[in-house]
Amino acid sequence: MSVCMDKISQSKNELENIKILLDRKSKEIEIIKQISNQINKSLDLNLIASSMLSLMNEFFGFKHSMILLVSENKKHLNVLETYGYEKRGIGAKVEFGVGVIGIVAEKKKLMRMANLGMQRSYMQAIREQVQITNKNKLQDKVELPGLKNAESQVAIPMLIDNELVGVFSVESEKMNIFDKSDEILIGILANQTASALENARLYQLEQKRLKELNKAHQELESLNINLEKKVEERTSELKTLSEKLSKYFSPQVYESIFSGKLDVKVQTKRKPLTVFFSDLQGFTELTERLEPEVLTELLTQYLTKMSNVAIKWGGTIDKFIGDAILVFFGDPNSRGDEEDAIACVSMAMDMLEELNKLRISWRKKGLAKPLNARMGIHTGVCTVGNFGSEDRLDYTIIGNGVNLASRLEARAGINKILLSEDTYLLIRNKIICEKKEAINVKGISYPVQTYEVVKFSQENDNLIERNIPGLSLSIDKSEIEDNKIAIKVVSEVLKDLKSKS
Amino acid sequence: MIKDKHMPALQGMFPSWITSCSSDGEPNTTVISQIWYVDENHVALSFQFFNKTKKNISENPYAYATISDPSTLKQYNLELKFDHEETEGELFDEMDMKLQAIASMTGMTGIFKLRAADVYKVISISE
Repeated sequence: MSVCMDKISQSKNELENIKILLDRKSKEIEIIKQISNQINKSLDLNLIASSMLSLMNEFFGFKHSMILLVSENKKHLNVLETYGYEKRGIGAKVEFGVGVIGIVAEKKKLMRMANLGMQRSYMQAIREQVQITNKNKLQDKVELPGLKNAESQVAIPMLIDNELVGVFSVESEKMNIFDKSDEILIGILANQTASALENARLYQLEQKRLKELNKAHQELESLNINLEKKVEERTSELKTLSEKLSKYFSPQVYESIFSGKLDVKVQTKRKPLTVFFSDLQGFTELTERLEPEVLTELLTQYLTKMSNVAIKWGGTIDKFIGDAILVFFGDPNSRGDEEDAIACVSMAMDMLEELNKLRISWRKKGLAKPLNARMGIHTGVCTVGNFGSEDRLDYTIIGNGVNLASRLEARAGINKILLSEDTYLLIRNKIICEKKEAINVKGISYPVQTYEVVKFSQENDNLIERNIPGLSLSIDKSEIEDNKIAIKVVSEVLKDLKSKS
Repeated sequence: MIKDKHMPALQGMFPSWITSCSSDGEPNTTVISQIWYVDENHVALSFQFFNKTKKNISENPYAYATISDPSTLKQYNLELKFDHEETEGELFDEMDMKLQAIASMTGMTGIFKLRAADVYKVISISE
């Protein structure tokens, strides 16, 4: 019976113990829950730290505590927040390896120190002993944040994945701060706080980076705007420059160079080209009679008109030599030998028409002696390309073909176009020509058969155009409204001419 | 052998006394700051300076210690026998950490150094 009673009382005791343990565990969980809730509410470092410290006092009666964070260089800690001190001491520095906190930071292990006062006195006594024998070697005593008369101190490393974030330190003037059984719980809470602090720190870092990024972005933007402006400026400068340059090149050559198709270096090639040469008859004589200003204007007007015509037909203007013009077809762009030749002859005919118009306008301005042109065209293989030195290049053509075109021009009639047989053979289907004499040209062993351009095959028969010195006749029958009046006008002119002769 | 009731006396809050004896029978008693709990059959003493205790123990491994519970002022007498010394491991680290913390506070880092943890077997405890 008594054995039975004993067993019952033993079981009762055990049950009681288990209940106490359970109560304790429940309370611990409640504490963890409450503190976790509080510290995870905020992303403000100091708010997290101060909540944690005041909650620790509430649950464990920690009257004096502080949280220190590892500095960026990981060589010391800075006080982040304190609780229960006369001076808050925020920002105070603790070197790794110095004092209880410094050692805990270095070793990443919890440390409880009791009996600090006595240990300090003991150490002080030894220090004095050492100082007598060894004056220079001792470091200065270190001022550490915290209670000056602390008897016990517990410092807990705050870890995330075994990485030190900071140290949580509790001090007391009393001998013992907390039970060894609370160590695990306090350790958990310290690590929880570490996580919350780390999150907050990362958040702040992120915010700071975002700010920096924004700033950098703005700077970049303003730089870009400046850059764009500069590029625009330079581009327009280049544009102006290249426009100026373009006047010295044939448009095709200019385009080739500026589009990068044609390299600007000494290089030539042999190619079949149709070469056009024209000259103004009696121009030299005119230069002696006219004022230079008038002459310049005249020549500029003439060359501008002729250039426009050449460009219209796709010719490459090689050069102007005084009043003479050298144009070729077939480089840098060719549409085939035949097309090039037809374009060239068409251009020449167009030029004559333009000259006729010019002549009328000049006459109105009082230029008595009309200006007349002679033109020669030849098709043959020439050497084309950049000639010259490394410093000065000329895009031009050379060869017998050029000479022949020049000879043909010299032999051409007034306001006539003289072709070589080579050109004639390419254009005869489109343009009616009249066979002329064969000429001997220096450098060519055989006589060159020549042809004079008459008109396009399907040319309008309504048009009568004749130009001789002193006479410029232009009749467009389709435009004449009253034929009788026209006949009367011509008759009167004829009558007048006859009476004069 | 060491029970829970002895633990407060091993926290180093009150100084302890340790008596050793040389090979020719001359006793020596000195004050030390802490006798460390290792396990229920062992305690440890810190070895920082070569002193008379260290010398005596090397000749005669037996020692006698008196520890005090700071809250009750109850004293316990321990019969000890030197077992071995440790220069690394958990026990050494714990003792070393504390020593360094105190030493660094008084500007004596590097001078005040734990050389070994001397582990003693507890033969008996009496009140």
